[in-house]
Amino acid sequence: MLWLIRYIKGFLKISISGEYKEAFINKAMKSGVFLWDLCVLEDKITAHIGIKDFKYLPLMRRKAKAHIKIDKKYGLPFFTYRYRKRAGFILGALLFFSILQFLSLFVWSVQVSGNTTVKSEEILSCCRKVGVFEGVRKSKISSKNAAGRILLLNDKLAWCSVNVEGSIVTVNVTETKNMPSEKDGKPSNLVAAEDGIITKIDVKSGNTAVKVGDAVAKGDILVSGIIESMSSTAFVRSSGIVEAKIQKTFTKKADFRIIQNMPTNKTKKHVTLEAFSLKIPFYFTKTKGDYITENSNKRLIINGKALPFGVSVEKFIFTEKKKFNRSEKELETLLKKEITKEIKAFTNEKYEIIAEDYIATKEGIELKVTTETVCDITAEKQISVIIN
Amino acid sequence: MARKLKIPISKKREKLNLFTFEDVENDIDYNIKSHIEIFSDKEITVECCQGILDYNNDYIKLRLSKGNVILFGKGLYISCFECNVIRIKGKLLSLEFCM
Repeated sequence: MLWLIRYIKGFLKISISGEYKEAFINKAMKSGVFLWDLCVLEDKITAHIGIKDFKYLPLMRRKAKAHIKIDKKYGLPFFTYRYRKRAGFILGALLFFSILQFLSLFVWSVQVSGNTTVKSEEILSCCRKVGVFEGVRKSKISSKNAAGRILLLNDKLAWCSVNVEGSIVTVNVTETKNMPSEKDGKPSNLVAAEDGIITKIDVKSGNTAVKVGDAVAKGDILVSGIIESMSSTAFVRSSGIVEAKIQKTFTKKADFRIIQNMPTNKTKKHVTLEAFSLKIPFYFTKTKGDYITENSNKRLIINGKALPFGVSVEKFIFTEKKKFNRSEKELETLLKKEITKEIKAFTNEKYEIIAEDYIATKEGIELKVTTETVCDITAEKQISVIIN
Repeated sequence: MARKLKIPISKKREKLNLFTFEDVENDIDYNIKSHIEIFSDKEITVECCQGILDYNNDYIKLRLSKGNVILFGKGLYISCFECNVIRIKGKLLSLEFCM
């Protein structure tokens, strides 16, 4: 900081030589002339002195019989003096600083931190709705107000703060934890979601209505939420696990002939230049026909911070409708793959395939797969209690 | 090339309180006691220093209100010297007082 002040004011590096160098320094001190960083180099003493104090040196020099030589000049006064005739240079510098000052009045980047499940895009769209986006004037942002409005717009956020740091706005968020649903506390039964034979019962609350080995149909009550005692009746929310051996049939159908949109080699690109919220398209025509689009957006990143400048490219891949004839084997493997996916989506437990039937139809093949698995079949069903 | 500074000194002379070489000796206030502070072996500050008698990279002799002090060291340089306060930096090896 001291160096900066000295640089703005301007200073000189001088070398003092002569018989009474020390006397000269003493005189300077007594006269109120400030010298700093004095250093002996061979028979000379080098020192730094401010421009204003340098004016007084000739008088002292004469009395102390010392020789003074300017070694180097530092500071803004010398710099500006050098370029005094270059008006364009000064104007350019002024213009540069004024543009810099003007641009620093706006938000250049909005960053989101603290989110894990809620997507950043979702939070950024909320920010946009409350007026926090790239290109907006910083003075228009009210941090407290914006944070409160973001919370109102997004239920998944528990806490939010909007911090304006320079030209970057950081939105810090904390997400809500899984709050108990409205169902909690309300009386409910556990019913069977599938037909099956009970293999295991583990009830935490409620009145068990079945036993191990019982066969149940879909919709049968497994655990009742009504507990009756001698004197009163209590309604509870049933919870627990009731595992059952169930059989389920999955069916999938596919035709030999299919019409598919296949990508061709014909592509088209639409390039758009983005600066803040301004979008400059570099194309004139609209795209017609069947196509698939691929979007890519590249942002200018400096020091790990995305700036509001970028290029977005929309790639159109044109497609053609093509007819395909699939063989029996191809169709069988395809159906098997799809059914396996379906089974895995239904249960995470181990399953056993009991029957697998390929039925040939006029247009294709139908696959029926019957599986046997042991899984939790409970489904919660609320009890409506009317109190008179 | 920078222009040579030509400032009429006569106008500013009132600020100056010029001393002759002998004045350093005459101007000493013998009642003020010097205050010396040493920061490790890297820095020394002497308050009420009346002047520098000898200056060298390895040796500095300072005039105090009562006697002199000689500093021995390596790469000694005067960081600042104003208002009778001198700050010397460098590797200090020894300090000696003499009358």
